Amino acid sequence: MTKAEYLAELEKRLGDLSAEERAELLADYEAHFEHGRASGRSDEEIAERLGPPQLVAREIQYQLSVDEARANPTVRRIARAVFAGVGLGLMNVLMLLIPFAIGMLLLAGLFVLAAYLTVSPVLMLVQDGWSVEFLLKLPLAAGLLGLGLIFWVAAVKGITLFVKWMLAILQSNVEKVKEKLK
Amino acid sequence: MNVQFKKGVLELCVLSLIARRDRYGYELVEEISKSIEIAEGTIYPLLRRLTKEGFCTTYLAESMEGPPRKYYRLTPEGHEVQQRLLREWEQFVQGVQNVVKGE
Repeated sequence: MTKAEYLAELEKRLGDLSAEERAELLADYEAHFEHGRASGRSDEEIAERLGPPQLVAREIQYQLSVDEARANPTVRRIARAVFAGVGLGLMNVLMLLIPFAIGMLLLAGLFVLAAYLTVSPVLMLVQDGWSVEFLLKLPLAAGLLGLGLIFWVAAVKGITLFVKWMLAILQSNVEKVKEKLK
Repeated sequence: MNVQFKKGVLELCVLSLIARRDRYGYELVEEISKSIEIAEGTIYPLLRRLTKEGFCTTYLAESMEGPPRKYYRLTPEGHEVQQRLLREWEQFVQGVQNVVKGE
């Protein structure tokens, strides 16, 4: 990659920056190439050692998002910094995704169980029809229905807990970002 | 190595080099690359941040060979940060030594 190609690629990926900031940074990299050439390096070698322009641009974007979040810490800006951080490997997105997936599975299981228990008397009726057998099973059916309703309430409570839990995890991630903002 | 850890160490390295005397960007990159493997392009965003945070100031100087150089000079605040980071680093290394050698 030649100097011109490298700078063009970098410039293309720094669209979010203000014109002034972009020009300043590009001047830094341009000077870097010039210094490298003066000490007898090829463009190819200089570019190789700088690292891919994509990586450099990501680094700059992350810095920018952190600067913005610091200047004015809104949820959106912090979230942007978090995701830019995830992109750089500073934060583990699995820390968010795994609890989310587990929580969703547990809740789904609870709801399925609750629904099944609640409709079980109807299922018994379908199985046995109006018979003595069904009437004998009536106390059991009532019990299952009650149990189903209890599970139902638990599942609804579970949603509230789940939301709280996810918020706590998000909050701790935000704290970590804030820590890095210091 | 942990990315965040490496970033912190890089900041200490850059501040320490500027603390000894004013340096220009390319010189800093060369100096650090001699000892630590880094993507050299990540030094410039770091320098930009250090300048924005008021840890160093910049000035341009012409040079006989090559293009003008943008020099970085440490501010008193930058010196404080460098000292703090150095202490943290030394404590960390000492801690690791204790664990590894089982003292």
